[in-house]
Amino acid sequence: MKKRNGLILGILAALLLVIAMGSLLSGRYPIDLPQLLQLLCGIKPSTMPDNQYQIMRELVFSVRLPRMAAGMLIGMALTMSGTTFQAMFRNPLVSPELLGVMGGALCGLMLGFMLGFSLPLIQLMALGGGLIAVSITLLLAHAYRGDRLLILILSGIITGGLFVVIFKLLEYKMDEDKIMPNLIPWAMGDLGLAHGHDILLCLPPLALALVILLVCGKALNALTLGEEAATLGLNPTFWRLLAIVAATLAASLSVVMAGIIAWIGLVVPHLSRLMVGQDNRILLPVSALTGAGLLVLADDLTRIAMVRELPLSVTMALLGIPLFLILLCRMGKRECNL
Amino acid sequence: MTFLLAGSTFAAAPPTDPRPPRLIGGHMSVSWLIYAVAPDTLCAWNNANVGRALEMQKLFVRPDVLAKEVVGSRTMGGMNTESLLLQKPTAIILADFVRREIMSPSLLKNANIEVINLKFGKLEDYPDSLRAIGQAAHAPERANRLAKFVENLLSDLHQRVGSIPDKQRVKVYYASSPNGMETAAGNTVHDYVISYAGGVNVFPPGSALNKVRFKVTMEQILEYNPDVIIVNDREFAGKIRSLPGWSHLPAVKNGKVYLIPDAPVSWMDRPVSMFQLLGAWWLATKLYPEKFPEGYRPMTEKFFANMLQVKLDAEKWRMIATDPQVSP
Repeated sequence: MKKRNGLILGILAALLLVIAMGSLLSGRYPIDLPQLLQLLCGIKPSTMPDNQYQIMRELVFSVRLPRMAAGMLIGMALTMSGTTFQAMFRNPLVSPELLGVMGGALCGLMLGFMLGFSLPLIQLMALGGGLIAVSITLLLAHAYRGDRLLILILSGIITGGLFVVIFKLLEYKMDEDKIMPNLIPWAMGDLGLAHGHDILLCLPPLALALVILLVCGKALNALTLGEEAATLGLNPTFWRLLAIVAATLAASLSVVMAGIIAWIGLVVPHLSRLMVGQDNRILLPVSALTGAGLLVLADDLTRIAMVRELPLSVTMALLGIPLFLILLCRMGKRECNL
Repeated sequence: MTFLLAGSTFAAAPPTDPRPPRLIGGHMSVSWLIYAVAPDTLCAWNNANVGRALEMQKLFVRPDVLAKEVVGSRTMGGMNTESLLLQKPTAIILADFVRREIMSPSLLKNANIEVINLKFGKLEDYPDSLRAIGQAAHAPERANRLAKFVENLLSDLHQRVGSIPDKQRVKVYYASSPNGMETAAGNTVHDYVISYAGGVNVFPPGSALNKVRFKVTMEQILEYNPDVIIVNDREFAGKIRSLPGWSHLPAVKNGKVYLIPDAPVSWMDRPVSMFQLLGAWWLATKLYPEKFPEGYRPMTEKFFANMLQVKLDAEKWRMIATDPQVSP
């Protein structure tokens, strides 16, 4: 079994490399493989005019590479976050937005644009919005007695509803001409929003969150057993809180980089589970690699399918909905057992 | 990267860029201006149209220009850096509040693309915008001619309706949605047609944060009791007299409901465009017919001849004037 999982991980990693290379080659501006390799090695083809070389270099290093890197990181963040929540709440319909993080982040973005803040401050507000939403959820869950997981999910639903109301109230005050064109790419997800410096800034906390989630794999296996986890010598409250904080941070940082990207955090964990089963120690890295590859592929499609770009959430939905339906059929046969 | 701002003292200088101009607008409002000044220089549109909007454009836009690619817009989204580069534009012309870069400064520099930021706001800004586009399109004389035409239109309009005392100004309700229950607030780019036509928008200016479009209730509309209602939606316009609530309004009873012309695009807003200039003239002829005994056809003919280089024959005029007045 270990050998098989290792093989799957190896294949996924190799596939991700191919997708990454393909992503650097994909775009409406024609750049072929020899040209790409020369550009990556910093070699200027002797027959190429200076400005064309500069344009191609800029396209590869400032447009395609940051999008590809952001796609990988965000794909990993959202799918690991989704996998963690699904395992922890023993609920296959859970995705990173369960605790209200996406709604909070979106309200933060909207408020930032309405107040005319600078972009880094707006991104910080998105992060703050996401974290505030999760804090409200956790506080609500703490205030009530009963089934901890059920209370937590209900608190997430209440918080999500609260932020929908806040969004609607803000929308009522919003100048559509000035705010909407700025907000739409964030609300629909766009890897083009992630510039190199954003990625570098988000990388350390995101990497930390992802490492924590990987470390949580074993504990998540125990947590899926419910209250029995305590009998295995595990402190369920500590591990649950650690996993929630790390998964929330990962999802919030993905919003900071490229807005709200739907579906991936819901679909990929199921897809990965079909490949390697329920063991979160292997499921988390498999989800990460699958999510990274799928999001980069989806972004490539948005860039090359038409002259105009489709919103990333639309492409993800176009890919995710049929995939999810197929998975539901497969799971129906096997009976989903989280 | 060069930023050229359309200022009030814009002087037509000889073009400095020797390349044949190829221009892209940031959104449809700008693309229409480029089309007006120098249609051959427009290398792409921003939005694709279907249905009636497409039929209208087929009638009024040169087929070879209408067939150009659609690259998306800054305001509605979808602009792709690489698609833009493939168009080999000499300039990208913007007029919006979008805060994203169209592409990085170094990419613009290497691709030798100028970015021109037009002032985006009042109808008086159009002459300067036309002149700025004229520079980029290497067509300063034509741009100047169009700018003067627009200045004369606005000045003539102001002379006819500007001196009307506030108390005698006609109260207008703008029904902007298919059910008529959405409107644009006063003193915004979406209601300029009303204010420039000498009317008063019954819906007050927006809040501190400048929201422009609002949902309203039938009670509010009955309370506003507008003298005139202007309508965007053909179907709604056709049935307004039989709708509960609306049929009680004196404006409806008195036949003061007008369908906003939409050839080749709306003369009111959505999109906001240079056709608002004609929209203001059209509405003024409806609000104060005694001040416009000639009606709006002569100015419409001049506008189409100047801005679109189209002569309005009987068929085209029929398309513009079909059901402009809904009530008898």
